[in-house]
Amino acid sequence: MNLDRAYILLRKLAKSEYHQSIYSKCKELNFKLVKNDIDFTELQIDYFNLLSFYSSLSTDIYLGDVDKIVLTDFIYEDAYMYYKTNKDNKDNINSSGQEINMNNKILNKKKDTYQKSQWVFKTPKRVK
Amino acid sequence: MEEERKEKIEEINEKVNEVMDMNLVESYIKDNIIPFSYEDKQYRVRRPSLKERNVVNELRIKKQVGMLKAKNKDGSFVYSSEEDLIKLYKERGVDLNELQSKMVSLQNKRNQTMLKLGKALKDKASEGDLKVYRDEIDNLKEELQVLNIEKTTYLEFSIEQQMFIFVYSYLTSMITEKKEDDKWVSMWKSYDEYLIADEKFINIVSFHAALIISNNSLT
Repeated sequence: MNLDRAYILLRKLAKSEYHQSIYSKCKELNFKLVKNDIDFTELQIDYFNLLSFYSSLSTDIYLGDVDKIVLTDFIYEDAYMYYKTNKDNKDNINSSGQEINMNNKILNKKKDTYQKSQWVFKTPKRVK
Repeated sequence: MEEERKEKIEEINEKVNEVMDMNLVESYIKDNIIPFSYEDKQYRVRRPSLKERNVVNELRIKKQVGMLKAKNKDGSFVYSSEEDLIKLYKERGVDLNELQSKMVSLQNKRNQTMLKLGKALKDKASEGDLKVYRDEIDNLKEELQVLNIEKTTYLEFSIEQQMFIFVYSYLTSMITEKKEDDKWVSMWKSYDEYLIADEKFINIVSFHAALIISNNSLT
């Protein structure tokens, strides 16, 4: 397994009915999702973020804000959530799609979707 | 008929593999310690402590300053920063600033298309319309990935990239442990020992370490 596959599977896990139900119950009953209380790993932090991402998406589907079709593709999910986050900030996006501040200065915002970067290993990985 | 059967078997195998890998990923998120086995022996990687992160940070500063100062006999610098390499490549006809601008432009185009697709989903547009935006985003992502790899390859030997690899490798060497007589002990006594270890094992350790170490630990 490589990191990209691990991440895709993590996303599938967080999206699953079982993990979503555990997430919802843990907020209600106040129990721990993982063994450790502090010092979370990179993967655990991604998992928590994804749980919250899918919980929010499910709420919107339930409220009828978006159709279930959104769940058929990761790109649909990302695009919808990106739109949801930025639709009220349209004034903060210039005509080229760059995010700007109040003084029209372009912001270097790092990430908007759940894209993971490649890690550098001893033998760097190349795409065919 | 035979072809269909093969396809079916392949599909089932794929699903079984996915379920097995999913169980593995599920086990990775349970704790901040990830156990794994290699050639019938047990190992684990754990999250680096604050003390270990501080040690690596001090070493990083020392090494970076050393690399910045190092000179050849003719007085020229041994190592190049990203900025130096960008200048050098430009002299040789490769414009990395232009490459970077192209990447920013593609990112902006992708953001705009994401907004359009998001709105189309909200407005419950037809599947055909959604697919047009979806495919456009997919193509932009692929283009961006190719440019990103190109840029990384050009800057692979910069001081910044070398420091990134050093910090990551050093932390990995510190957080890997092996099980000996029911006790967990450090895998390597020193970073030098790690550097001469079996590359296949290092790749497996690196994969598990990458699941643990956050980008914040590396900068």
